[in-house]
Amino acid sequence: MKTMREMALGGVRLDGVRVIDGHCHLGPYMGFYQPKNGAADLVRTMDRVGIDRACVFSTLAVTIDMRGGNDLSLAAAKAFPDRLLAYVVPDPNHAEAVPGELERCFGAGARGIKFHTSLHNYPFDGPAYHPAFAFADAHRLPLISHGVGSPDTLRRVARAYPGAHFIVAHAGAGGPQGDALLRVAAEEPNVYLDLASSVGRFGAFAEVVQKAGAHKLHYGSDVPWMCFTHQVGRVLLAPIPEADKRAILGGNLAALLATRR
Amino acid sequence: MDQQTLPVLFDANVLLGPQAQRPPGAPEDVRALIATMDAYGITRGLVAHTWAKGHDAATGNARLTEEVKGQGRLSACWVVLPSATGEVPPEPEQVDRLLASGARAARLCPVAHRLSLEPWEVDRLQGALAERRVPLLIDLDNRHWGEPRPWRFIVWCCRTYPDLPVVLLREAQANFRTLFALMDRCLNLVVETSYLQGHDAIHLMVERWGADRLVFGTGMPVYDPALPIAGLTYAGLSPEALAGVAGGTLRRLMEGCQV
Repeated sequence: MKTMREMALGGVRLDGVRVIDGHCHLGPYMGFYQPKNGAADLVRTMDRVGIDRACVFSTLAVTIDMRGGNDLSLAAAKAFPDRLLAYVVPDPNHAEAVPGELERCFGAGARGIKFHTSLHNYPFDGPAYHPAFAFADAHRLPLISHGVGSPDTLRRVARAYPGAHFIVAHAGAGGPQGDALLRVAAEEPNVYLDLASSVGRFGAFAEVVQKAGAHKLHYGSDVPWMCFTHQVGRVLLAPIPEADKRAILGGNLAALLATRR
Repeated sequence: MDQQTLPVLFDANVLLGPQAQRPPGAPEDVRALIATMDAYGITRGLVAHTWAKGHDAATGNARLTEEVKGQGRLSACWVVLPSATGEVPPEPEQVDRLLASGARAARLCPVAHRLSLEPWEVDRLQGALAERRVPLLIDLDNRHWGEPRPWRFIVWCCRTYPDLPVVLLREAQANFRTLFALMDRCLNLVVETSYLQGHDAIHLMVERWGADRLVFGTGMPVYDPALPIAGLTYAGLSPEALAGVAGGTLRRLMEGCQV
């Protein structure tokens, strides 16, 4: 049996390894050209690499149209029910519509929640996000957020909603957030870190694994803003135990997705 | 894919020597660099020296020549500068010395060395490199895909010196609208892959422009080689195209130097 390092160097399909991508967009973004951004395009690359499932949220929903964008995510999950999981995006700039949108999307099969505090230009702990926190708390759902305020803000929110699974986007690869955020992930039982990051400083990922713990890290690619393949490589070629690689690539997120009630 | 068909990785973007903020475990000398290359399955490296980029070009290039001597897996890439200040020899002499040392590529660092990139500043350097067809690696020190690029300079350089292979280091997906237009127009423009992370972008670019327009690189030991390695091995390329991007294209460019 090949090691995961050998699989990466040979470009071997990841059969026998459960891989769940927790951070995928869908559809075009006008800020720059993102090739092959449709659901079928994503599944084609997933087939080639050996990625079992992907959590998808449309870029339309994190930019200008919450309902239209969430519909795209739901349609993608309906088209590929064994491969794509729809996450609902609440737009805090339309606070009055958020509770109804959460009910509508989860009634239609959504499996998690995505915030984009940067593109929505709204603070992570602002009141318009509270209905989504409460919903994730009540139903024990994953909630991945691009932007969480300060580490202290994240800690406070995570403690207020202990049933929600908070996943900090772009924070699991050793980025500028530093050790304070890693400590929050290590210490708070419902805080996790997503790997997706275009920048990979030499040796930084192994340090993150050591400080936050492999059980607190989730593979995520940010496709099609980036590619599935690069974050897979970050894990497969890291100088960490094989069991940790399996947990990060899919085991950890699978466990969170199974807690829904 | 079995062991026999593993791509021969020839890394176009490697630095050797001390770093100001050394990442954890980053190799600084030849022995550690070779060990790191082994750990990541990298066969060869085109190496510039941090002394040449961050301290003094002449002493750094000399140090590089000495350190990689006899190392069959490491090829030297000299850091080059315009000569107006006299801190480096006149451009034709720089290129003569570069080739005489065994180096087969040059690295221009406009951000680190505060170059304006106006034609009147760099034309003699580009001309001297083009005359000997020495591949020119452009190192813009970009740390994030959102940073701007000196596109006017790049276009001027490619069009004025069509025989000069121009290798853009760490180009990224956020610039595809500009980059794709340039790839169509400038046939001597080559993209290094260490930061090329667009979805299926390597496959798409090889289909559109061929494997001779891309060279594999990592940016190590500043950056993690794991990302660009998997980006290439899982790109879904034919064995021929994979071999080209992995190393064949870079070898061909280096062999094109007119010694």
